Amino acid sequence: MSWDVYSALSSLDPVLRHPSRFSIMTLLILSGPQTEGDIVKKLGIAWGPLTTHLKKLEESGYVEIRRFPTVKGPRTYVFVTEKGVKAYYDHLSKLDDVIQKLRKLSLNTK
Amino acid sequence: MSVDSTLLAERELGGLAEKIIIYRYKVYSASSIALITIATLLVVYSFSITAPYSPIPAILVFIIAFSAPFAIVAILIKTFKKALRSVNLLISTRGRRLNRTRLNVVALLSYTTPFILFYLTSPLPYWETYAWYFALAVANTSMTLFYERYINELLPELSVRVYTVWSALSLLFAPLIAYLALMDPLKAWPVALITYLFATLISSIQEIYRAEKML
Repeated sequence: MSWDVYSALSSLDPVLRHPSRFSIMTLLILSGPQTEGDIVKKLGIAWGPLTTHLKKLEESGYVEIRRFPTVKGPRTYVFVTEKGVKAYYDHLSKLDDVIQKLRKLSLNTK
Repeated sequence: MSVDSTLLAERELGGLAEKIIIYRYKVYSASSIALITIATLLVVYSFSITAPYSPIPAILVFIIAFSAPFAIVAILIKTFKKALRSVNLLISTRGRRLNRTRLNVVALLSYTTPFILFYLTSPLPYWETYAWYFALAVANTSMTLFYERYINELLPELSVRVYTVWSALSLLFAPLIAYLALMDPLKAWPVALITYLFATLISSIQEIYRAEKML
């Protein structure tokens, strides 16, 4: 792998590099705040890993987790933050850069 | 290269999410104008048809006809707000901010001021039966200039044209309604009604078609 591609890859957001965390962010941006149960149902992520991913996203300031009392009992809602949205779109533009460099590399090696 | 396909899939998912946000906004705005127009017409006509006969069925129909549009509008507002929130997130990534207060004020003034002004005067016979058409044409034009243009400037990818087409068609038929109002005022309101419904459906359908083409 060339240095160029390596540096582009390392510039990607380490939090969003994980496919599950990327999917959680996509869902939150697309559909707005979700309960933890909704995320489990919609993305098919198990409860255990979901807690870990949400903790990482919250520590990075990309999501906010708030507990609300509802008629069916307390529900934990996950909200995307402005910082999270910005990081998500920065990540997408960096992905474009990486993909372009990888394509160039594969053309050169052919 | 495997890393390439994973990254490509992620990028495609991100791009698709953006398209879905725009698609949803377009479809919601297009269907909401059609549904609200049809619901309002339902209220007006169900009442005017039943009222002359007996007061009790008329009141019942009025309650049902009034609650149905309110329910539709409540659902539409909820879903539209969701679509607008996602659009707002997209706008924020461009370093700009959607002024929601401005949008609310524009919508409120657009749909109240023309009605107040038009119904304060009565320049032609049976004016109150078709004045709403001119009031709505002005309201839609105001929404085109101060709402739709603003939101399209903030997010050019959105390129929503529902109010533009709606106001253009309403203004296009306005001289015909004015002519009928002068020549045969009793024919003005049914023609106004049909042309307004036509303008609403065309603007709604064209926006849904454009949204479908985008995906």
